[in-house]
Amino acid sequence: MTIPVFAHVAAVSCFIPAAVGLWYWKQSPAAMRVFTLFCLYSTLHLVMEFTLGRLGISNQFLMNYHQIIELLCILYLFHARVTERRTQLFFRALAALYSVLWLVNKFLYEDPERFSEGITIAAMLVLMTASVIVLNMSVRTAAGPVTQHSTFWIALAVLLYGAGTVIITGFSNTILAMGMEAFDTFWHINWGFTILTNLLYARSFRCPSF
Amino acid sequence: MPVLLNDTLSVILIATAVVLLFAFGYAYVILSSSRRIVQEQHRRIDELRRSEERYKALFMNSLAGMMKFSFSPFIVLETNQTILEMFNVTTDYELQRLLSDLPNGQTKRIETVLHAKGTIDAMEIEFPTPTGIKRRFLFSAKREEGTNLAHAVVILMTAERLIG
Repeated sequence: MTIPVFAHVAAVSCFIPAAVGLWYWKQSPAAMRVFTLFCLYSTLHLVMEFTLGRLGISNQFLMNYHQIIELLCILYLFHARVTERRTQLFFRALAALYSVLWLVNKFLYEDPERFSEGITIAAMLVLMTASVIVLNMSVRTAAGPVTQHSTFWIALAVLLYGAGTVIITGFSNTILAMGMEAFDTFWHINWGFTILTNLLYARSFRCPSF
Repeated sequence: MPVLLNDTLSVILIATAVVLLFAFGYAYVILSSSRRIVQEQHRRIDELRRSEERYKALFMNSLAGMMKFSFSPFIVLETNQTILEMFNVTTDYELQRLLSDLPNGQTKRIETVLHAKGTIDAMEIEFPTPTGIKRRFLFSAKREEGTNLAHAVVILMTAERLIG
């Protein structure tokens, strides 16, 4: 099976936020440094996924671990951004609830050879909800344009990626059952949003405020 | 079967497009709201700056002596030229030394009244200048709420030569 060029472009785009994050490391606040570490982890995750794929070993289990790490990192970032106690508690509750769901899925339902659609969609919906809250709060509380805040770009990236891929992800096993050709065609949407997300993540490091 | 596949794929595509439309719409609303709020903030800052400039012009060109001061401890923070001329001094610090040393406990009285009532309405104060002239002033002041700062207006009533 040949991997489409667009998939390679999407894979290479993962290096951009990690590189930009390292470039701005000294100026970044603590939360953005955590985000840089997350971007580095994502790059490593991608390299491992690619390597396992090339070796013909199933890499699904990596994707299943990636979800919870991504969700906790981004919720931590949003938690650091919001100032209202109630919203912070809500984010903590979301993180706790998702962790329980993830563990239940991991030990009771997960098939390591199969992509866990349900738990992935749950993660996307949690992150999209958190993004909407953060975007809404940014407009109300930012002293200046929201575009000058890193969390605006991260929340926007999470929201657009979620909106663009949640349905496709939900049907990924169905699409896969239709054959690799259909899967390849559809996954172009996913790769497109991966590139957009990585560019928006990279943009977030260039903001003067967190 | 191909018809079913096409139907499934069409539904996925349409549903994705609808969700995306909502997401982009929301992002657009957020950005335009932010732009509107920033414009409103700039408008208010400009208004405040203009108001401050008007106040400064009134303060500096007033025929009455005006000053801003802290009454506890007594520190003169800002003065206009008229009040400096009234007391025959050239700097805020000289005026502060003069006022914090008013005879007959007048400085203490200013502090007590501002603490208790928040305003002083035309209190008569007098002090002898080093050149032997006794001057009487009408001193009015209003305290800034919740602070030890006050704004005062001083009017010169009389100046009479001291005998002996």
